[in-house]
Amino acid sequence: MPADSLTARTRNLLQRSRPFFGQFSLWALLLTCMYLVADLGHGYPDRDKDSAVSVIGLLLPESFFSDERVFELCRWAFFAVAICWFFRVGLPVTSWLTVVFYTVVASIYWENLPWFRHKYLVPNWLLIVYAMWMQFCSTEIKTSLARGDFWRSRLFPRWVYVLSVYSIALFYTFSGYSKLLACGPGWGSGLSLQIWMQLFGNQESYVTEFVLSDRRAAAILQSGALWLECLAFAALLSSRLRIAIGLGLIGLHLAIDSSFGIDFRTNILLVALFFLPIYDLKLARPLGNDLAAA
Amino acid sequence: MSGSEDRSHGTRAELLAIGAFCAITFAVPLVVRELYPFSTPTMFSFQVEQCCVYHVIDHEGQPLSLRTFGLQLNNPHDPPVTSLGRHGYGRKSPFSIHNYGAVAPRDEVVRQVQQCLLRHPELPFVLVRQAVIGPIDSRSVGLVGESTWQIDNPLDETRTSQRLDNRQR
Repeated sequence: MPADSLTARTRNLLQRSRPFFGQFSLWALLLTCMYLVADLGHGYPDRDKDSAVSVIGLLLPESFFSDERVFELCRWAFFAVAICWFFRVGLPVTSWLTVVFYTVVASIYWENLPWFRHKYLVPNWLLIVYAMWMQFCSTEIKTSLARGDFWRSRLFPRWVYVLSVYSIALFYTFSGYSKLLACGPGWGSGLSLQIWMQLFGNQESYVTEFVLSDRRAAAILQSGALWLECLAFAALLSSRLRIAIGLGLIGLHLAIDSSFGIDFRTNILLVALFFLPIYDLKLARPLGNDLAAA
Repeated sequence: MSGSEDRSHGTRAELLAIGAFCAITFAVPLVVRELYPFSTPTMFSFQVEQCCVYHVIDHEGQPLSLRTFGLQLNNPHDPPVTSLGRHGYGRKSPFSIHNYGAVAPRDEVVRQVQQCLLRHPELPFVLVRQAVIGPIDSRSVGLVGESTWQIDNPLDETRTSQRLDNRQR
């Protein structure tokens, strides 16, 4: 890549805009995380421990994960610091504490499950990205709040948005490649989707009916989902691709929710927020300059 | 001057942080596969061509829990993690001979159910129905095989044998 182009892209990443999108997306993200944590149970701590499935699971003893008091303490600590962050109190410390307690609570949950729950991953990474924003801009944020011109100040770096899109895109790309690694392109043959639908599908759903009616229809849907996931990374290449991929992912989750009842509604919200053209609206553009297309 | 040096430091720090974030989130999941919060989401990575459905009914025709007889399907969605010397999940599931995508042979089912019946002397026998779901033609899936077995409680055989011995005395 020519040096001039690299410099221009770097400058573009560091460009700052007014904080409308940043602040509203942060509030949406925190409310999403609060909903997820409120919905969490302690899992199955009475069952025999199997493997460590989290970073802290490798470091801490099993008693840490089986003690429900620890889980509840961490959960309430998360709510306390997340609310502080929501109201911009104690920055940037409260932002990092929110990351820590969310990660700990979700890790405890994973360590106590005989399966995995992937819907906690994307919000976790977005919390880290937004905590990075707080880390680098908390002084300016606090100054602008004291001056009363927060909404008019250039406080939201473009890289926060780009890293958010990257985090979501990476999640789906890895999901697609996991399937390819496990089964090759034959994963999308339609047969396994029909068997899943027969066994676990909501028989009253139109999606279930459509899949079970014909193997070719099932193959088109299953292959389509596979390649949509594998190519999710392309959302970083252009805004048109990002919108198309976002709509595809939202449709995929809605179909899965309708047919299997598997709830990824928080992911639907986050994909809509970061993949659909909300950030590109004029409100987010830097003062005096048009934001370059992604 | 010091202001621009500060901004330059800040810029470099931001770029380093961005680079580190991208590198870690890309590389670590590829190694660990599933280690929260690092993950290459593996849900639905199973590919199956057939699957079993079991039903267990007691001597009065009442349905019984599959878990009581180790015939439940534990986790059809997520393959177990196998990286870093691990195999499994956070917690173990109750034992089951029902492996997703596999059809257990009659002998294995009978042996498993009889072992469980030893803990249930109130059940003289159970009926176990094994239905296999798979492709019935090139377009659709459905029932491709079905077996029903009456599996007697080994305790009942012991009691019968004892009654015969007593009569002979």
